[in-house]
Amino acid sequence: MPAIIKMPNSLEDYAIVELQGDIQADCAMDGRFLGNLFFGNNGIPMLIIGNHLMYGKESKMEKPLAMLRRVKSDETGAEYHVNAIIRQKILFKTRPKPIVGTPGKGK
Amino acid sequence: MENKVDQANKVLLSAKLTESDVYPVSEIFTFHPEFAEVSDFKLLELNQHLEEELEKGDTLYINGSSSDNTVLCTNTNTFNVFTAETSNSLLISNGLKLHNNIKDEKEKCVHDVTVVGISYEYFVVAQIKPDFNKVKQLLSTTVYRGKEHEYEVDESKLLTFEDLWMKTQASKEELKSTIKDLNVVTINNKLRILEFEYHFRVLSFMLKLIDEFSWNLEQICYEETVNSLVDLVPSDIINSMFSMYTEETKMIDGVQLYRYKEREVCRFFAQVLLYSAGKFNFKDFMQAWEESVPEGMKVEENMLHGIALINRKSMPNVIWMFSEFDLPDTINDRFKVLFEAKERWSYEEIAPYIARLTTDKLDVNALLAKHARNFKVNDVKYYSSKHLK
Repeated sequence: MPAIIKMPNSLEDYAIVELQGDIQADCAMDGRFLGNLFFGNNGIPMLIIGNHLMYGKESKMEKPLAMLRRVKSDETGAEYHVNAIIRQKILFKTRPKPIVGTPGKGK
Repeated sequence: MENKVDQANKVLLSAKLTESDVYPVSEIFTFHPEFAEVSDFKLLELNQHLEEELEKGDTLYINGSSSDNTVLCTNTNTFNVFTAETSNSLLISNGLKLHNNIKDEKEKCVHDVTVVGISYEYFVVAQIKPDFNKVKQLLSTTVYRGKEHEYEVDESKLLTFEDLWMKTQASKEELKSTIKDLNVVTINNKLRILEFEYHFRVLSFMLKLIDEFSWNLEQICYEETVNSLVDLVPSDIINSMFSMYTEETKMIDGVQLYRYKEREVCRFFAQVLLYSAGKFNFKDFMQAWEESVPEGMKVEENMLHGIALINRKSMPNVIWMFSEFDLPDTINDRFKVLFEAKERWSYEEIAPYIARLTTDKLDVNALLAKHARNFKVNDVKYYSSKHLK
């Protein structure tokens, strides 16, 4: 089936957070909180998901990724629009560091 | 509801960090409320060409029916599409701010980032050459043999350019150049390959006018050509053939004049001689060829590159038709056929037979380096098969 990919007038702003491994959830993810991102004073991004801490690195992607959304599909063919062109990512490639001994109730 | 700044502080604290260790701005990641729906998207890795095309606002096409591979086309290039998988997970995040975006903010605050999808794969492309044989095959069912044979043609098989494009996995520009190489003419908006004999007949009619009007070879008149042949040949065909075989020379009294392209005319006449001949004594061929072309045109051996092969080891030397159009489209198969037909080739000899397979990244030299062995004899470089017999 023929398909076309069109570029709209405006793009949305997307970037990628790349994690080693996978994120598992035992329920639907809709609307759920995932984690927090901080930048250390040295500029290094730190991602905290659950009780895992990860150190990352920002990078410009060698080749950008176009994010395509299907806007139409019928017997004559499909049409996709470019929703975003993703050029930046933060890569967290080190093993997550477990956070232990959480100090009970903050504040 | 808990304040986001407080929540972030709590998390920070749990990781045994303090506010003074980090920038005042942090980000909070949440999955989109309709995650299942919004995560229905595809990722396509863009090379420089695709990126430029999209930025120009040009449309990309995924074309071709009943094929097992997906092909993506821009106006000028054709690509195979593959899926690349990654063991990492890619969180596709809306509103993510990088260090540069937040480093100057002094106020403590938390930005929202929405994750709309987790991807483990994306599409990548690799440039290919379109399937030339398929084009030839599609057009060869409706060859034009002359008005009197038109009733034999199945009208339902006639194709416009758009029809052909929809059926081939190729960019429009590459398809246009393929059609040009095949000497396709457009009759009533339909693409037609001319039958070889018919092509010969029309070209002969056209060239005969040079004598009839005693034209200088540099002063061929388009109007007179069309008017003289209008009863014999449909004007669509004369138009196409005229633009195929002539080029502009000069204006005289406001009339554009033309000359026949010597190389194109001579090459066609060589094919006429070789077409039905099988192997031809090379000396006899050169003489017959010289005599067949219009007076004032000069034949040269290098005009035969890409259409015929000469064996200089046999006694006597022989020549036979060896057309680029009949070779396989895949690189390995094509080199195999080439080295079976002839053991060693000079660059000028082999280049016309592989030029069609070149891409932006692989030119003729790169293809030869990859698929042939080269050696020098008397300072002339030759190419032969990589695999010794």
